[in-house]
Amino acid sequence: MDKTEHESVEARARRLYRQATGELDSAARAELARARVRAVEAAAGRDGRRWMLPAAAAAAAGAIVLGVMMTVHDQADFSPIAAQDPADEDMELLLATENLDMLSDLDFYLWLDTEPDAG
Amino acid sequence: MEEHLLDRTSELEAFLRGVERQAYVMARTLTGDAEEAMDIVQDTMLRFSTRYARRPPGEWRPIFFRILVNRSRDFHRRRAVRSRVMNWFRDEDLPDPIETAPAPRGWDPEVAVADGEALAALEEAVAGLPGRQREAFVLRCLEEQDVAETAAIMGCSDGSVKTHYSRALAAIRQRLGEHYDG
Repeated sequence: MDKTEHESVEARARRLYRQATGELDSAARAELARARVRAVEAAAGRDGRRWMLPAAAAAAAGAIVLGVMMTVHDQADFSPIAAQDPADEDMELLLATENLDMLSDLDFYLWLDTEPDAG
Repeated sequence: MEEHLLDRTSELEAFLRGVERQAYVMARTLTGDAEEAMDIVQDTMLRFSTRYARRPPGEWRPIFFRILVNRSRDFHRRRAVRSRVMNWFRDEDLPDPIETAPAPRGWDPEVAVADGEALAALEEAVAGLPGRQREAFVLRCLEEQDVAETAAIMGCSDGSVKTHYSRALAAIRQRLGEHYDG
């Protein structure tokens, strides 16, 4: 299969895809708009509640200090949480990288890989 | 403080407005299921907005599409499990209803293209690809992401992206046939 054939398939597929993106029916557009509004409201609500965080953190810290003071000192040690750094994947990403732009964003990509939702 | 929140909210709204149609068509292509695609986009928007909207806006796009791709993978995992369970329970003597069912939308490359259903033909062909090849094709070809961006969204190396994409392209070309050109 030569390169010209590939490019032709790619070009046609891309054109159809763009066309589909621009020609969504009104029901789908309305549903997407509703989803967007819900998502923005959820984010705004979350940000709006952030003023409560310092107070909540202070209350939680107080409770922890009190708890520690009341706890007997002979309790068992807790094991440290095992490191869960996916070093192998990071190295693969690093070694396979041919694009210098990506290296400049490496911190971001590594962070992205550790995210439970996005990773 | 309030003004900053308003700025961020309107920036988020503009971002979502800018990617929502693209996200829906992408999810539909990745899953082959319009209803599921809408659920995936809604879930992606909500997760992104509540968990990642405070990240710098320059990082939003790869994060958003990474979530979308992962939700699409979840869909395929669930479907695979469902299929395995159904096969386990079904009577061995009866023909598999999924295997014997007619192809969706009576898919036939020549007829589909001739009838102006080229997009449906393309979506069917993409749906027939293995998961990673499907993602590489959608991101590299249809979404025109570069190799590094595609690798970041898929969570793999640049080399893997190139391999998956090359195989996907060959399979799509074979599936759609010569008449798809032009």
